[in-house]
Amino acid sequence: MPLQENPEFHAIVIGSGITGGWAAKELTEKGLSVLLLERGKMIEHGKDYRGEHMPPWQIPFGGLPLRDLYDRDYFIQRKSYAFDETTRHFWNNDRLNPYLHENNEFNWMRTDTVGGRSLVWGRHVYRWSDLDFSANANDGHGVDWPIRYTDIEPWYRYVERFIGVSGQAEQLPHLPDGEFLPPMELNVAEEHIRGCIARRFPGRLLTPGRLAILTRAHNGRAPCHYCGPCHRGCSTGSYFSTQSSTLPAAIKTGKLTLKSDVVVEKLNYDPERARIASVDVIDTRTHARKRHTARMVFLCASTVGSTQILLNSSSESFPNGLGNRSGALGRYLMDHTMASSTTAIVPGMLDRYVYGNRPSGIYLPRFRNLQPEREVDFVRGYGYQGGAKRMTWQNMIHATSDIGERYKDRLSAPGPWSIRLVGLGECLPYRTNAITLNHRKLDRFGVPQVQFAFSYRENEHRMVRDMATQAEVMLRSAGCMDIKSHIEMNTGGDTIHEMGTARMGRDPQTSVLNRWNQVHDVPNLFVTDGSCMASSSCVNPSLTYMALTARAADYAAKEFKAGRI
Amino acid sequence: MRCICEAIIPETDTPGATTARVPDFIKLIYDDWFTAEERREFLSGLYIVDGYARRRHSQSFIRQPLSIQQDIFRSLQREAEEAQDRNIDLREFVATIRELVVTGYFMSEAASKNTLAYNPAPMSYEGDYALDNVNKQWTY
Repeated sequence: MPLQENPEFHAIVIGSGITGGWAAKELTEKGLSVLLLERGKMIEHGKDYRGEHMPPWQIPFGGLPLRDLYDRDYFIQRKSYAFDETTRHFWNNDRLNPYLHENNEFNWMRTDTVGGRSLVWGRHVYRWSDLDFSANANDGHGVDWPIRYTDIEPWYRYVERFIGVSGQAEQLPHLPDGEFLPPMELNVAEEHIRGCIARRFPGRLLTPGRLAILTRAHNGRAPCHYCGPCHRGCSTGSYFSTQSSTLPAAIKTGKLTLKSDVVVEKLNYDPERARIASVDVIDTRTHARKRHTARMVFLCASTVGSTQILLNSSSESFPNGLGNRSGALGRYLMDHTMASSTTAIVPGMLDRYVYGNRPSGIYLPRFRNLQPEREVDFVRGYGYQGGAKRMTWQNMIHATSDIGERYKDRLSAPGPWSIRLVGLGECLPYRTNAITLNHRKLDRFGVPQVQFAFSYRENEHRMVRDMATQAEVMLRSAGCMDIKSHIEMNTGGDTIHEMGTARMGRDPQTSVLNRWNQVHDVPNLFVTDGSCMASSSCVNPSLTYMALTARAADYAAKEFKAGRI
Repeated sequence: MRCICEAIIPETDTPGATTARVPDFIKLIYDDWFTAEERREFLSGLYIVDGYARRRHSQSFIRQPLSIQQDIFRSLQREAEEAQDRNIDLREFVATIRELVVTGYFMSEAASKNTLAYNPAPMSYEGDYALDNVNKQWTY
């Protein structure tokens, strides 16, 4: 392939979600011209948030699912908590974008928009610590991370200052504090539980969730107005999304070209220069093919999307997928377990209520295996999310068999305080949890479909049982009643924290990316989304993706200016 | 149908199911959301209610005063619960109609703004707020 002497752009960023938006912002702000490619359609900030502030009486069919349509077109996406008629226009059409999983073992949740899942994400942001970065080295699962907390800490700070994170400092060594805006306060029932846990369980703590939602004006964005359902979109830009934050910053530089409705087919490798020379794309509406050139490529197409592109970019130099001399590409897929949910009634406080719809909840950080000694029958750990609220009419329809005036009065008033603790558990990296391409099954663009093989193993199952037991013990000691745990192992992908498949590592023989998220042997290709993860921690991953992206972009721009890429 | 809705959620100092146009909501669900099978089951449920009224009170359901209609619904519900496995259709009908009436009611504009407290942009959050200040559940 002839090398382009004068490439069209300094950099091509593939994907406009949480990491693609960051890559585009950072690279353009450093003076590079950037082409940002997005497979989905354009969603204009504000204007296209069709469900935002939609009152209950305008929601079609009282919020009941449109079963025929969902069965046909959204049989995977409908499983997301954030999928309904107020958000459906953000989500992927499953009929048009098929993938393979023989045992229905993976729910691949995808949006189909500029901004990607930054529009509908859960917005929890937690720093990793060295407990996480050294976990693989310490217990031997997976390969050692090539970085430690000190490498990423300045980038956590940098990202937090830009996105705005509300949270409460707690001085936990294993869950480092960030640059926090004031937290969203706990409600009176959560305060009660926090106090009980602090008194009776040394080392355990209930804290306000740390969220990328503003509690005061920040970088030209307005504070939260507490309407509640963020995932419908927020025209005041009060939560972090590509549209509210990174895209406007990138556009402001005048260096950005954004193309939506363009799916990347493959990257073309030039063996003479040992560089990516060009990117082949397909217009999703006309199916017209085109080639774009740039000095470097940032692959930010999501964990599975990016690895699909790498696997589909085989060449004589890389017969098993681009950058895959190690055989690790596609392997070590992880997703947090979210398989244990414990609910209870918090007695009393019936004269207390809340004002405003707080779009956040609580966090109960990991307390297991903080010391090297093993105290339980599993490695690693878990945290809980959830929160307390007064029950609503939705929860009480069948709470009584009465009808009439008393029933109406009961449903119209707030019900008792209830609390829910949902465990999110670390998932170990297993070689056989993997994605591959099926060259006999092509999608509508002629690209081989992704095939998943995924299962949770004994360590995850043991951890899930402990989550339920410990949630019950804590809630019982806080005087809660009617404590019920529901344990049901989730399907992979359900937590929408899928990661791994192009892991970072110290050794090119066992990993795909180096310590700068740069593909071993391909210096002008960076992969900075969830696919780069060598382990999963138990905290929500997006903040770490953002920090790694900003860090990689800084390195890439320096290498570019030094003439090395 | 209108009578069953009002029996479950009557007009008081706040709107009842009829004022909140719950019967229209249920008609929409019946016409455009139910499958043919669900429509059949739902209709046969309505016939059971009416048949019960005629047997016990020798007049059709709609001709009874509200309090009798409520008694009929309560008795039917009790019967459905006591029948255990034998009367699954009736149990499902009773559960379905409760869900539809309550959902249609509390999602309505009339109930959202009158029965509940509607505040689409609260602008702040307080986690320890006196219930006396609002004395209703917030619309969400």
